[in-house]
Amino acid sequence: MKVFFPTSRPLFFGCLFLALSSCHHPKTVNTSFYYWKTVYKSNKTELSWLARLNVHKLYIRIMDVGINEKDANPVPISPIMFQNKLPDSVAIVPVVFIVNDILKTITRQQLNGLADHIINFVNGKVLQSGKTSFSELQIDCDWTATTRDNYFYLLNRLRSNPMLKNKILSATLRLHQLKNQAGSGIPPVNRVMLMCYNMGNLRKYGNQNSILEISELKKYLNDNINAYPMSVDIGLPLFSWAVAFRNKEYIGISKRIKIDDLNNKNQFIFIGNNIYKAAEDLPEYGLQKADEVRWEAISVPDLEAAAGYLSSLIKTDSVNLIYFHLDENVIKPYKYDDLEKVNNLLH
Amino acid sequence: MTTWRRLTIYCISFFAVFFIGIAIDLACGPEPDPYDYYVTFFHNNLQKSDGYRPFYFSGYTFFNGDTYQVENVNRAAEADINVKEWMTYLGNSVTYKDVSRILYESGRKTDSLYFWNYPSRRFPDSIKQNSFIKKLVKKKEAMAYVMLAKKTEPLVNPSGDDEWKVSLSSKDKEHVFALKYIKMGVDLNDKFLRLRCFYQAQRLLHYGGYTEEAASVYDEHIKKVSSWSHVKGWALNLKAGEEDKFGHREQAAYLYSKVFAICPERRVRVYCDFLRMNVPIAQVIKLTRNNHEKAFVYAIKGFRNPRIGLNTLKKVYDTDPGSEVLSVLLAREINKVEEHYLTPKFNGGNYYDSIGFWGHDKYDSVKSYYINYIPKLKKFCDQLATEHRYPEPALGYLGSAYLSWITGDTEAGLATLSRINNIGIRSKLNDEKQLIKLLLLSQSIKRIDTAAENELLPSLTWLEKKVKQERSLVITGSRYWSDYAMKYYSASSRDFYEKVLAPLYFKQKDTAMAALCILKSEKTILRSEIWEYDLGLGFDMPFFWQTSMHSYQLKKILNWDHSLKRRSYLKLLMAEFHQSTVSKTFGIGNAPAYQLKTTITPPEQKIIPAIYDLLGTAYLREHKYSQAVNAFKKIGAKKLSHLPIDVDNPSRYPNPFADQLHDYPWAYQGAIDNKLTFAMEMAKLQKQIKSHKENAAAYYYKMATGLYNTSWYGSAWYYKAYSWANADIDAKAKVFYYNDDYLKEKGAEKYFLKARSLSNDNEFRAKCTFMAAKCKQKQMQFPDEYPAYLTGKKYDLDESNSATKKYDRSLRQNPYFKTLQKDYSKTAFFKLAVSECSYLRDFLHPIEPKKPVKLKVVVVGK
Repeated sequence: MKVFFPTSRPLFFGCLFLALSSCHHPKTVNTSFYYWKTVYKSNKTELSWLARLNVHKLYIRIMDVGINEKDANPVPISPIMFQNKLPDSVAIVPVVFIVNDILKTITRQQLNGLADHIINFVNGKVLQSGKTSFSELQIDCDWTATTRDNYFYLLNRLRSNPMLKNKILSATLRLHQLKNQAGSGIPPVNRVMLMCYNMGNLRKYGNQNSILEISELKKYLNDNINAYPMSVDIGLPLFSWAVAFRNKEYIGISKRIKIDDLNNKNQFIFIGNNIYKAAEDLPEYGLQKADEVRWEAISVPDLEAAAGYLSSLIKTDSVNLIYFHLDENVIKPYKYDDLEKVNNLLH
Repeated sequence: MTTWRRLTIYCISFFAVFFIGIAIDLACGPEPDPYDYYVTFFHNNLQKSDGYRPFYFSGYTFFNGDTYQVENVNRAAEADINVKEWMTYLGNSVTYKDVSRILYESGRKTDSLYFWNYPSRRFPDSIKQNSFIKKLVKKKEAMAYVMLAKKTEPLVNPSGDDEWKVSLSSKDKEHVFALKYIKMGVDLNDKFLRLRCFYQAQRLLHYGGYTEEAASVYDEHIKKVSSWSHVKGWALNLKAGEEDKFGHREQAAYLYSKVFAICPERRVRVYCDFLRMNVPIAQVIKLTRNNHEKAFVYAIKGFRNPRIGLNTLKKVYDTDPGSEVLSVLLAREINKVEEHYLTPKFNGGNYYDSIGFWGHDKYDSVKSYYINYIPKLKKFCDQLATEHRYPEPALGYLGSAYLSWITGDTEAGLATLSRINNIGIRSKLNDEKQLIKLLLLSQSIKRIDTAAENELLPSLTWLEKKVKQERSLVITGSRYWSDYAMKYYSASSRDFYEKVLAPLYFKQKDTAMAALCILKSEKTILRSEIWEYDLGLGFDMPFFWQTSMHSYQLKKILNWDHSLKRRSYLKLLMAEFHQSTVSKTFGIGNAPAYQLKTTITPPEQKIIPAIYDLLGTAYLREHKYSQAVNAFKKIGAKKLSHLPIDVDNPSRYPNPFADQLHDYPWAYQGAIDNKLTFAMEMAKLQKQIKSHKENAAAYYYKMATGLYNTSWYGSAWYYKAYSWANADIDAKAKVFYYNDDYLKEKGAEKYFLKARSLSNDNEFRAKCTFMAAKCKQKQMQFPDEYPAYLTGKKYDLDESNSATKKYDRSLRQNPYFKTLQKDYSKTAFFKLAVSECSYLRDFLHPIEPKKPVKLKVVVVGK
């Protein structure tokens, strides 16, 4: 399927585009979520979010693809287990995360085998989820210029597999891949999902929010979305994390720390903005006394600002908005209305 | 060549050199052994078994930073345990190899072909002859179990393409097989097989997602089984995971602590799982059923603590005074004191090379903290020893005596140690006792004389024996970190001679004996791999020997070696002098690129020639050339002619008598030259000065060039030194007895002046004066920041700094320039010197710079 505009007609399409965009029609916003856990269990809160936001499909992480240390062949890592079936009203979009490193040394022969393995595995997992089929498969990979050829080869192999006939193959797109199209290339897929998160410098000491910052987002986007030669879905973050520093040097993300822990005055001293200091050695969090923690979370105004900015850039009639990710704890700080408001801003 | 091509070549060369340099720095950077980076004499492996090895103290990094590797070791240990249990079950009538082959090494293809279809498909001969299979054929129930296990293993432990198989029914498959195991187990009377059947059922249900059913299999069928089998512990581990899945984190943590206590092979995993539960210890303690269980919960928490503290020790001792973890925890506390207090005390306040993942506070700021802590820890040791609640009170006595040694309380230490004399103790503890005794004895000695030597001798002989025993130990794999890994007594011997005994000799100004101790320490374990470009001889000797030994001290040591009536004490100290060594030489010179060649060096071919090399070198430094010739003649010419590596120019011999105005490029020649030929020429010149006085000026001049070119500034630097680095120039401030020649060129200056004084030739005299100016320049005091600038520690010189200005000025006001201008300005040499040396030009035509001028390099005329 050719998705590029014929080069001989840019003026015509340009005029048409301007004419169409001059009268504002509200966009259709299709909201959905990623499900990024290793066990699918139906959860009342999570189900009510799906119902309230009128979500009809769920992007479910099926597995990571890593390397088996023993024989250097690709293997599925932590595949999802379905303890319950998916609700009837929700379709599955299986998502497969490919660890970029495996693409560095992989052979074409291994890639051929990997494409077949992925499709068979996804089919099996879709059946386990209680669905008979799926209409879209998404591949997630932080590919780079050095792995691009292998990655695109894999995508082509997937697309040409008869079992994916009449199905959409989509890929995730990081901001740097959107901006640096010359180096990153355009993945051979039907559509992409732009991850509007993880844009700042995580390792730099300071009070920035590396997950989402509008000023950073602007550096990457501008006209790049519309210039992208295929449909672009939008991914927005809902997660939070604690970034730890020792002597102002990055030491890692402490997954065990929750905001409630940071507010425990026996353990942490709030020193301003989003920074907290360990009041004592806290081995359970991997921290020593005086280590600093930057709490990065996404507020509703942050999301609104992102949606407002994105709305002005997206010129298509409908937009797929996918939140990362559906989890009772992650979604706890938000209200239904909050996300509805964000959705409305994209209209 | 066009400009752009030239530029491209320059750029590529620059980047290649720049990044290769960085790569080499990274690749060659030191990587300390995480268990041998601090001085320790209180060994961490004093327990009866080594099941707590990953929990020994290393402030460097926990588990050596490699949990994955520890897990792999554990996995291998589990297979080993299972094979051994099967062997015991079958009355040891089968071999280890055969059981292991069938259970773990047969491969999925063989399994699916033969075992999955048993008994319909007949085994091939290779399997039929296996002693394990032969036995199973007779024990039908056991065979049925093994065949079923072969079928179900891929469901829980997939490998290869199995991992890509996913089917709707896989979960059901696990359930179906689990029921089969349960049925098989219920029908069996054989306890061994019953336990395994239920464990397999629980395992299948657990990984199949039937968590509740898995937990009930454990509760109904496994929990009450009385068995010492590790399989029961593994089942408990699964149960803990199930509790975790149910959200019962406290219960899960409690069960993990129980597995920690009974299954050494699962300790690392359950330790991590315990911490992952992240529940308050008090909550877990509430679930424990007895003090033994409580003690383990406290211990797990204690193993996490890299800082000193008696809290855990006391809690474990109060709840379960007989617990074996006490010995691990006690060793950890003493090791912490060794890392933070003893080691820097020995090293003049420095920690291990100032590197490490775990940041250290400044020694001065923590010293008092440790000084206060040691008596408290000692008190605990005394309690452990005297209360007799711990089954091995000797451990308490040992800890107490050792801490007395650390604090310098020799009398108390010896008294404590004497209390163990009448107690029967394990050999590991007895060895530790001998080591502490040696430390205390050394501390009690005011001056080492023959009587003191005789007092130390039995302990030193014992230590020597321990080191020899460890020489045959081959450490490989994850336990190998350095040559000293797992060789506790070798590491202690190394540290004893260098850190304890050598300082005693230095204190009484006996440098030769101190040097012997240092050598003994360094040669405890001889380097087993040698690079083909290693220069050998003195280059292999300790730094102290290379830089600080005078000829009379080296001669003294050689005389001791020659003496037939050496006292036993000396014999022991010099034992390595007469050892043959086995080494592997590797190199890059010939194909294949990396090759190893085993070389056996016969006795007396290693250390003795090295000492003669050092002796000859010391004579060169002392200008005693005839004696140097004699010393070098004791070494083979081939060994002496080794050259520092220059792969592109393998036979570039230095020219030690090069006569050139510039220092660089260094002068080389094709003809062989080595220390011996150099010493012979210098000795000859020394004689000729007396015998042919008419040419004495020329002889002095040549000797002066000989001194100059064998200094830091010449191509034959390695005739006088054993290493060369830019940073050496910093050593001008340090006191090595040969620095006047080697770095400051005082000897060469003297000889150039002598040559000048004996000649009437104005051209020659002018040259001598200029050469003396070069020497004088080397004596000028650098500004403080200059060495840092030269060695790359500082990027820019502060040219406005008054010391820098002064140095800059002194380079241009060399006192010999005045003489050159006054007495030799008419000579042809003077014109040559002016055209070659910008400092001399600046002297003749001083221009006050408007802007600070960049400093030029040190060398005159460059």
